[in-house]
Amino acid sequence: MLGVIKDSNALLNTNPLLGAPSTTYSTASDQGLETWADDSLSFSDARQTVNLQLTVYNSTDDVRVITKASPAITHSDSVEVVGSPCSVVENTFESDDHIRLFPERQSYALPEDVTVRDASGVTKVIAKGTIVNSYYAHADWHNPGQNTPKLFEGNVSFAQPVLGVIANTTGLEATHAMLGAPGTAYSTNQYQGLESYEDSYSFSNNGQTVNMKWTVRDAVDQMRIITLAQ
Amino acid sequence: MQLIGAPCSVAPDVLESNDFIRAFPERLAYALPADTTVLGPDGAPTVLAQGTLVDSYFVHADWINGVRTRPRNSPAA
Repeated sequence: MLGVIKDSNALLNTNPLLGAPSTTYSTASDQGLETWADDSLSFSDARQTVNLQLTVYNSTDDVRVITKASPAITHSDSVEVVGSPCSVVENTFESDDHIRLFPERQSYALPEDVTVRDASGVTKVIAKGTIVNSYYAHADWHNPGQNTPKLFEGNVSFAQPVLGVIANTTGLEATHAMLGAPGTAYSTNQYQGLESYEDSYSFSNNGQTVNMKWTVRDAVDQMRIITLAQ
Repeated sequence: MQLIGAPCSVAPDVLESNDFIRAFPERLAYALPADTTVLGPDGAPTVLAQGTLVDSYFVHADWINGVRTRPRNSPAA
């Protein structure tokens, strides 16, 4: 634990800096904790636990908690790792600069077999019951005109072995319900997956890095990445 | 405490619960773009230097408040 931000002004100042890109934050001047209202915050467990007691009136009580980055994921500058957004439907979660990656399910026992492509490009089945982490990579941009292309290129590395990816629309749609983030609305667009004629991915670093080179037009380009859980 | 994905909004009266404080990850493996002052675990202000790799989480409490000034206490979380 590096620290917390619990005062309203500091929250307002850091919402643009540290906030989730797809979340609308309060602009209220009383969103933080109030000592007069008996809100309290303490640390325990060798600074790894934050204890809160909040008295909430008509506004909200909010706190931002900052920790050292988990070593689970590293990435190139062109990739942003964020909390699962409320939507990855076209035109809702856009960036002209970054591929967004977010965790969907963590330490999740697959409720049924899942078909992926592994590092050698071969189709393989991950057996029901395997404990996995699921991540979603998403690119969408502020496209000024129909079919205007934009190149996105980046990589992400995982501490755990990548078991495979799901990159085609059929495979994505078939696994949204099973592997998708519970609060995220997913696209139903037939072009949500990668198109082989202009999008590519590869593996490196003993199969723990996924490299992406995508040309995004008026729809989105998306890919699901499945790793072993810790 | 309920761990959720990043919601569409944490403005007042949008993401409400009478039972849970909600927490969600905002940014992960994120290089701070500017120096950022936090309250450290020792209770003192601490400046995290630009470029520090951090994970950021947001903790949010709001409830379905029927009366403007009526408070609701959370259990210790």
